[in-house]
Amino acid sequence: MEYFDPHSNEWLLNKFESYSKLRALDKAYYDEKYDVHLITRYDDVRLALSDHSTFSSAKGNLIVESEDRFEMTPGASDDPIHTIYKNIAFAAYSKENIERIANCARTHTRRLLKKGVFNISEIIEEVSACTTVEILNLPYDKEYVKNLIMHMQRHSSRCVSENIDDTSQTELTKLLISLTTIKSVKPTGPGIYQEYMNNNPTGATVLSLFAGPCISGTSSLTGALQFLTLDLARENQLEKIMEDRSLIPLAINESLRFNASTGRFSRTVTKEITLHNVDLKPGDRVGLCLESANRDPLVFKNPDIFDLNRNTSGHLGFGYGAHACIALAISKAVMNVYLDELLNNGYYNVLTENKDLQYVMTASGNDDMISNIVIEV
Amino acid sequence: MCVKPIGIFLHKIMFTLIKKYTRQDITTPFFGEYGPYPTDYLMQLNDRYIKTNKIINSTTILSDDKTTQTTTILWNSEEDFLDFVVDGTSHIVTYLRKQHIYNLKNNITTETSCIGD
Repeated sequence: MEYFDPHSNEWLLNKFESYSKLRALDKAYYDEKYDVHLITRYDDVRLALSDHSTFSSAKGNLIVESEDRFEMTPGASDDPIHTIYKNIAFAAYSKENIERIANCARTHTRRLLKKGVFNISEIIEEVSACTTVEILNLPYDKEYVKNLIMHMQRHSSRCVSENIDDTSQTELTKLLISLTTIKSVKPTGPGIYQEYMNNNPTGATVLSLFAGPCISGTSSLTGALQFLTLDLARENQLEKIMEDRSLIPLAINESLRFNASTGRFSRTVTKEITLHNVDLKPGDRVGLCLESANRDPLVFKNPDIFDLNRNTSGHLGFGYGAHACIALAISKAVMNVYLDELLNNGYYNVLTENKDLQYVMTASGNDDMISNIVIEV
Repeated sequence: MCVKPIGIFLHKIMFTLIKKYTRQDITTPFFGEYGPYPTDYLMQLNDRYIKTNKIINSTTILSDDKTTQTTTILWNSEEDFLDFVVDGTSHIVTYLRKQHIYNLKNNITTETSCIGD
């Protein structure tokens, strides 16, 4: 097996075994295929996530990058541009709005869950898409926007590396320009659209503020909900949580540590620095393996055990520092209501064997989602 | 999954897009103010949008105090403009991306408006 290949189902199924070997190497491993030095130890990953002047995002944050994203998205930019983008959308992630979105996510989860044997991966994908619809809150038909997002998740060249069909991506761009530039349609409620229209002092066209939640936001939430579903069943924690729902926040944090759905980011080195015994020079790319850092035994004792009593503070699920996921609080709130509704639906078993899990081949190589988690309720 | 087209949004009438760029300091050049414009950008603009009459007219005016540059483009239709926006492989979009980044880094603000809808 390769040391690193986020486009291989075999590697994704066995990645923690690889990471254990990578952390133990004398020097950080350089992967030629993806042109990244793999940073896998906790302290190194955290340092790189914190030091923006040495580890730049201006040439992207994806394992597989494209030049047209450079400095065009919050994730693929440094300050001052990063802060300009972030400030436009910041208020969309307010406490009040999080409550509204979580309530919507609860309604959708309740509506979509069922009894019997079914593929919960697909239901989770839809819950995530519905959540993104509420985060954007475009003044347009929500069912239509949800279908666009779901289509993008499975077919857009920005989202996946196979079965490409960019129709929905094109449609979304046209819709956004039509709403924001040509028609200047008034917002109908809180969300990114409202902030974009009312809180954009530079007047810049930053469609990535919408595209980001549709692409990486939806997939990282999908992955987080999927791993939460899997982890609790596989690690025999269901009964405990069923009995005591106050454990839900602990379960969420431990699941984010145990299986970071956005497992990897890239950065570009701007000045000479030594990391994991490799002398990096300007222009070198590093792959920051958050999911490996979260299993570093020097920081988390018995890291391969799912432990509800663990102190998870400092885990790197959803990133760290200025580029930490802006939607972290929303994601946690949605994970909370999703799990509550899942447990209300009844005790479940995961029927798909670990070895049969099929990962979605994402375009970026950053996010992990699974397409075939079949459960029985 | 079937994606419903947004055709109900599109109007086949001419419309004017006005972009007003404002700089804080007249020593900061507007993007491309002193040229030269990249040849591939100009050729593509000409071939895809001017020769085909998708762009009917375009003017750029500098204000008397030189702080504001206003570009006015008359488009044949909203549909043509939206096709231009998603023309992701073109040199034009690359050029516009560079302009966008330049404006943000140099504190040049943009005001966009439309006439004719």
